[in-house]
Order: sequence, then structure tokens, then C-alpha cells
Amino acid sequence: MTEVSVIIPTRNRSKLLELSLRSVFWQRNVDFETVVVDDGSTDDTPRMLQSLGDRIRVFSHERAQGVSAARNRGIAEARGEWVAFLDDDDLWAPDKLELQLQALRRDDRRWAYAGAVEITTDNRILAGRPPASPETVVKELMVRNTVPAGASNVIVRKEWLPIPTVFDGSLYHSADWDLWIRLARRGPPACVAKPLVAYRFHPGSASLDLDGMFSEADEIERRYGARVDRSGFNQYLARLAKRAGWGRRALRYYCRAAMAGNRRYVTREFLPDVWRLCSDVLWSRMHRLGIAQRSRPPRRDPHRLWKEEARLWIDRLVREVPLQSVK
Amino acid sequence: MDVSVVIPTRNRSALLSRTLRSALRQERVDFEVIVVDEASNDDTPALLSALGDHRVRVLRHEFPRGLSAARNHGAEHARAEWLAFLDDDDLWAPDKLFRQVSAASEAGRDWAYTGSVNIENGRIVRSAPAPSEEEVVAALPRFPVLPGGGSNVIVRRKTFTQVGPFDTRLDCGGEDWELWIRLAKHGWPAGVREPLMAKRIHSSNMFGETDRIVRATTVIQTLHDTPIDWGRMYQWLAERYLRQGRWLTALNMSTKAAAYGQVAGAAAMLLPHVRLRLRRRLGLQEEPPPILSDHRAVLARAWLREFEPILDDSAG
Repeated sequence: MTEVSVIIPTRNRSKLLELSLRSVFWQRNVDFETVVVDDGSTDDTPRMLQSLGDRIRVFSHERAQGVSAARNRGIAEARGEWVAFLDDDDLWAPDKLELQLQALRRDDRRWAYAGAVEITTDNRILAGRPPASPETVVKELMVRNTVPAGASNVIVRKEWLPIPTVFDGSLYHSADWDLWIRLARRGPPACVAKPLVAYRFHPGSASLDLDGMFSEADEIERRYGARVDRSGFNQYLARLAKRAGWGRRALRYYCRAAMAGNRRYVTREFLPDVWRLCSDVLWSRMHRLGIAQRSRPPRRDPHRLWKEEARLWIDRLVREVPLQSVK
Repeated sequence: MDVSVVIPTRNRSALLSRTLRSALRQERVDFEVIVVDEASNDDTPALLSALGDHRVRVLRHEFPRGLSAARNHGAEHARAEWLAFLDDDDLWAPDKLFRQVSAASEAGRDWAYTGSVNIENGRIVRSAPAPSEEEVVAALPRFPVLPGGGSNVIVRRKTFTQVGPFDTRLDCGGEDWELWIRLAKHGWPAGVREPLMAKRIHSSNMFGETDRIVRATTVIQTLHDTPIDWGRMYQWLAERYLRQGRWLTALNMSTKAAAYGQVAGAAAMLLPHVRLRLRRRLGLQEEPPPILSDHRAVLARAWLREFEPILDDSAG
């Protein structure tokens, strides 16, 4: 019997999907099947999927129904004992499934997550840090989405999933968070504290819908009586805005974070955050004017080793598969 | 046959033709449409006889019997396994019935709901997330949590006969909610959370007849002996009064909502309106209404385009 069903929802991203699929195919020591749900792609995705033949099972939605509906469809078609999700732009380390299954059996748990790093469209590592422990994850899920890297990180026992709705199609940014809360109520997860997942940040994309994220956090609060950490959430949105190059919006979110925050944030972290934002903006302006060099001196990074570990397997994956043009 | 669609209608031929088109566009289900014409005296009968679609049957009432009775009459003539109701001004996504039927069959449930958006003059004006199944079962006796009114739910015909028809005492407001309460007592629903229907908001729809809803709510409270969540109820009503421009009544309702504990909600609803009125008073330039660009609005726009000229299309 198939151990794991890997479920990949995709839409119009054939180039990135190809790399994601290769990161699935190099999984070791696990008996798995790959279920791709094509959510109404209009590019060459169908042709690319067909060329892979019987290595994958493909299901298509004629009309786009959203990523949650696509994942739910994948779950319905899955034959494996476990289901693991992978988004069409994210990557897995070769031992991701193997190590997670080991951890699940060792701790006798029904769902598991791993550590992650964030990567850019050209596969450089942006950020990453070790994940929180299972106890912390369960305890703090009502405060923030403590499972890193979204859905691509998690593997879960199929018969243990809540039916009929696994991923809630009326949520977009928080459909995974919503599911983790419901899973955590049934039992604690297992954790593999290694950087096994790389999830992609698309800079300045239209999908960076910060207000939408905010309203969905409201919905999570309403649904589960959670108390979302507003300050932390605003800090997170500020970081996203900063990365997308929206200096003024970032500043606004930092200010909101300070207003919603505890004294510690206001006194210790707020000013350094704003200072870093201003200096980043200034630096990029100076660079544009030709005064400064492109590469600025690196900051001290407490999670350097973690990123190095991820870089090893990401580089190997990318080198073995040259990517010509990535959108 | 999979689904019987019951459409009660009265003197709304222009809207009805769009609604019928969205019903007849349903994909991958075998269905029939039963239009119950409530003594229309406009060109509705002409429109219906000109359809020439073998899937459509028409029942005509010579005197209007009311919405509940019309739906019940249509349901009596249904032959399919599932029953779906559609109001004559609402719109369905082409995969609405299929996805509800398959979700319910897979989960072994006897009724199913979906998400909804509200449209007004070609704009999506509301696109809140759909409630979860747990929430529906827990909150229905206290508050009409299901969006979209009578056009949302599909139910097994067997269950409909068992749980009972729409209550004809509640007409024009609350009759759908009352039946959903009984359905929730019968068993759990299956939810398709994406917005697969659109509720139209216009001056002549039931939605406006807010006073009747208050009365209906009191009736439901006695009928089912349930603790109504008046805080949310008053806030919901205030929203409707605001939409009608009945500013003072809305203020009154919000105060009541606040008194029942919905302080933040009432304030959040009133603030944009206060701002708008202030700007008007000060003679400042009016802002265009915001274009909703959340995930649900985008999904809904993708299928709405086919049936309705959508003004805020550029955001999709």
C-alpha cells in the first residue's frame, strides 16, 4: 500500500512546478504517489504534466476553484495512508517525507511539521529559523500561525483529517492556519527540527494582499475565540511590506504594531525596526543614485547555520535541474 | 435525476431571465427547473413560454400564495433526489449544484450549503467568509449565519418531506432561516465554502423589508424556544437599515446591538458611514466605494461575469 500521497495544487506556474515536482521525485526511502490538481491552468501546465506520464496522477478543474478546493480534491483522490501537501512553487529536501514519517512513528503522532526557509524566485535564501517545539506550536496557535511555510510543511494521517471540509475555501491566506487549529485540537504534532522545506516569497506580487490577511485573522479570532497577537501580526505584515519595497506601508504597520504592542516591543524593538527600515530605504535610494554599492555589509545573523544547511540541498536541486526562465 | 430546482417568482421578468440562465447553466448534474409563477401580471408568462427548454416546468398560481407556499408547491412537484431553491433575483455559479451534491454525498450528509457574495448595481458589496459546519450547527438557532437567503441550501427531497416544508406563517423574511434551524436539528450539513451564489441587493427585494424580519425573529424565538443572539441580530438589521438610508433607525438598532454586547461590531459598521456623511457635509469630494479584492470576491467575479455586467472588474 502507498504510504504517502503528495498533493500538489497548481495553476499557471509550469516552470516553478517542474522544480517542485523534481523535489518530490527525489524523496528517498518512502513509497509515495504524486497527485497533481490542475486548477484551471491556461499555460503549458497540462502539456508538461502529460509528459511526465504515469509518475503522477493528474486531476483538473476546468474552471479555477481556488487552492483550497484543489487541495481538497487531491485529498479525495489520495490513496496513501498519509497525505502531504506541497504548493506548486515550494521545494522539499530529499529526506523530508522520510524524516517526518520517522518522527511520527517515534512519537506516535498523527500529524507532523518540519523546519523551513524562505527563498526568492531565483532560489536565494531570504530568511529562516528553527521552528517552535510541538508544545509551543499547540499553545500559541491561537495567537499566531506557528507552523512555518504554510501547507507545504505538513504531513497528516488521511483518515484523521476533518471531513467534509479540510481546507476552508472561503479563506485564502489562513486556510492552513484554520486547519492547524482544528488538527491541534485533536492532538499534538510531531516535529523535525531541520530545514526540510523551502517556501517561496514572490516580491511585490498582487497576491500580497495585506488587508485580506488582516480580515482573515479577524475571522480566525471570531471562529475559535482566539486572541491573535496583533502586534506580532502587524510586525509580520510590516516585514512583508518592507520586502515588497513598500516603505511607507511598512512604516504604518510598524506604528500599528507599536500601538497594539506591549511595553517590551515599544521600548526595545520598535525604534530599531524603524531605523532599519529607514536605512534600507535610504540605502536603496543611494544605490539608485549611484552613490552606494549594491551589496551592503551583511548584518550578524544568528540563524546562519540553519540557512547553510538548507542551502546545501537547495543548491543541489537547482544545479541538477537548470532553470532557464523563472517567472 | 439529481436535482430539482424550485424558483418562485413574481413580476420580475428582467431579473428572472438572468437567474434562469444561471440555473440552466449548471454543469455535470442532471436537473429539472420548476418555476412557480405567483400570478405575475408582467411579461413573465411570455418569457417562460418562450423558453422552450424541456428541463423547465412552470406552475402558475392565479392568486399569489406567498413565498413559502410557492416553494412548497414547487417541492411537491419535484422528482429528483435533491431539492434546491433559487430566488428569482439571485445567481448561481455553474458548478454550484454539482459541488454541493458531491460534497454532501461524500460526507453522507442530508443537506449542504455554500458561501455567498452580495451584489448591488454590478458591484460586489459583501464577501464575508462562509461559516464552518460546526458554527452553522451551533449558531443557527441563535442567528441566521447562512448567507444568501433561500437560494443557498440544497436538501435531500426525502429529508425535506420528513423535516417539513417552509412555514407559511413566516412569509417574506425568516422562513428560510426557520427551515435551516429544523434541518440543523435533523443533522449536520456539508459546506462548500467558496462563494458559489450571489445575492442581489436592490430596492424591491425582501432583504429590504426589515421590519418583518424583526417580527419573524420573535416568532422563531417562540416556535423553537431558542435564545436569539439579539446583539448580532440588531447589528445585522442596522446594516440593512443603513443600506436603505434609514439613518436614524440604523443608529437606534446599533445602539441596541451595542447594548447586547456588540460594541466593537456596531462601531466598526457605523464609522465609515459617519465619515461619509461628514465628508458630504463638509463638501469634500466623495470617495468611490472600495473595490473588494479578497479571495472570495475574485473567485465570485470569475463566474459572475457570465451573467452580470460587473463594474469593478478591473480588480479581478
